[in-house]
Amino acid sequence: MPKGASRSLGLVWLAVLVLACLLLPWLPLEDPLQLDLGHTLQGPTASHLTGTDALGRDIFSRLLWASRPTVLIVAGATSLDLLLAVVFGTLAASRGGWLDRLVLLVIDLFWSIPFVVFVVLVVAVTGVSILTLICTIAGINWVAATRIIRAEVLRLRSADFVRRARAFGFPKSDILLSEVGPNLLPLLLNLAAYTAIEVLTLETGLAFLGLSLPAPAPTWGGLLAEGLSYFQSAWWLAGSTAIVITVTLASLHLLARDIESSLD
Amino acid sequence: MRRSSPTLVILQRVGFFVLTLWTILTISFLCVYTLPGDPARLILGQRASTQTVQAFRLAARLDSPLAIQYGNFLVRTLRGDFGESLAQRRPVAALVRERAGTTVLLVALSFALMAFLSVGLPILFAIVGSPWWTRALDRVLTLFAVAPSYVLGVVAVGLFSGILGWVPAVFDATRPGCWVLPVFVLSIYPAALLARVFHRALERNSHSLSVQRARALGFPNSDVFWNEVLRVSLSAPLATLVQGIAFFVTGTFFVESVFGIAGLGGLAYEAVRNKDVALLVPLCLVFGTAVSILSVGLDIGLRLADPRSRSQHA
Repeated sequence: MPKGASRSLGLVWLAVLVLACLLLPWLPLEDPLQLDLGHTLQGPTASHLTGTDALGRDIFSRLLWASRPTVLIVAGATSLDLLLAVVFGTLAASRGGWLDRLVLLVIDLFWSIPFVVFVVLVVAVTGVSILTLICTIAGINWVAATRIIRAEVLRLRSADFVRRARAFGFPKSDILLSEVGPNLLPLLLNLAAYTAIEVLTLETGLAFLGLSLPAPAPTWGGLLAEGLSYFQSAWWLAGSTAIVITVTLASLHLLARDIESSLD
Repeated sequence: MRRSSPTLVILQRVGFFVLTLWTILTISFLCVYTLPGDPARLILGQRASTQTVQAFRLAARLDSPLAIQYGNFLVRTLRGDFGESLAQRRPVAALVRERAGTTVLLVALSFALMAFLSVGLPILFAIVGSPWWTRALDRVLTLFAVAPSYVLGVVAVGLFSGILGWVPAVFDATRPGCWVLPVFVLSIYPAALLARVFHRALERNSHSLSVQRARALGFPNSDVFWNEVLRVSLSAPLATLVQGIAFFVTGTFFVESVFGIAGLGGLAYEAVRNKDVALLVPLCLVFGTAVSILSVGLDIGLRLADPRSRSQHA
């Protein structure tokens, strides 16, 4: 497959997904919560594209409705994550001294503590809402991006154009905003794609463990866990969910690589 | 650049380990005692009677100031008193002892497979002289690593035990065949990551100045490879491994719940399902301590083994 084709396929999938989330209430879909006990665990047919689950609910519609909170959480957590990374990364790089050492120490700490386990604990104790998921996921995920942004700011600070601006006597904050900031943008875009991959993997994993929006609201992870228990009688439940999750992640991977190669 | 003695490195890392441990303890405490909700209710469960909750509040001194509760929590935990699981009605320490072996074996096997796939095979290919195979391996690993472990796991279980019937649906630790899929699923993502890092390091270092000089001086190719390329290249994947060890160990959490393995991850999964906070907190502590021991151990090993990273500023 030529490179351009795989790139646009990934973008098309992500665009369709986001668009579907926005237009969901107006799409001709079955009610994702509508039980139909006469048609449980049916294979793919024309009226149920990816079959029905153990309670006769339409899996296709459940998959699409599940993408709504997922997209929201991924977008929210990724933004918050990068915001924290930019703030702490830039502060550490531009202030230096004890603040820099503290940020580096916290980053090291985060790497040697399995915070996923603590996310499970926090979510189990506080109960689940989209906001708690966004905050806890971003709260453990910001360190990797922070380290990269800190390094980039350090590199930019010693770049020629920044030195020149400093020689002209521009104030430090002006240089940060007008010289360093815009040059961070491509890197931020790339980090956003990679962060989105991590957030999506974690969010779906939590849902798989049963730590996401409560039933009967569908989630990708929840559908996958359901599919695991019905694999023998209804492989399409786990099958279609696995495909949707994997294709979405693969699209993000393609996007991330693409941005990366255009950076070089 | 700052050169530090091995003793100083070890002391630094042990200090860091203590700091990590304290952080883990404090976070666990904060999760249960300061987040909204009654700790007594959380620990005893929603079905406990009001009298039981009152009795527990008195016994655990939940009415005393937070600082004193924190002190009590630290002392209790450091003594190894983890309390009793709510759902299983058994001491947590006994449960952990029972289940730990399975998880340790799972992690050890996956670690070995990961090392073989990401470092062993590329070395083998480099000796045979086939960069094409190294690249092919990298591609295949990357392909598998796109799907998260729980997705791969569900598909593997469904395919090999549900449809093909090659592997029993219920995990049986005594049958070697049952270990193949979980070990593969747990190791594939880190293997892909490390393979890429190692591959890049190999390519970079095989054209370095010292390699060119050694070749020009007429050293045999195999000597140059072992001494100049390989030893230097190994530090890159090792450093990545130190950073990824937490991720690796918590992977057992998902893999054990997919395959129904009765290890510590499976136990945590049951705790989540039963809302058994009394069991979940000690499990967090166990996972956290295990990961930080591994991470600090690996880090010390890496620093002592590689002269370059020893002299680098941490």
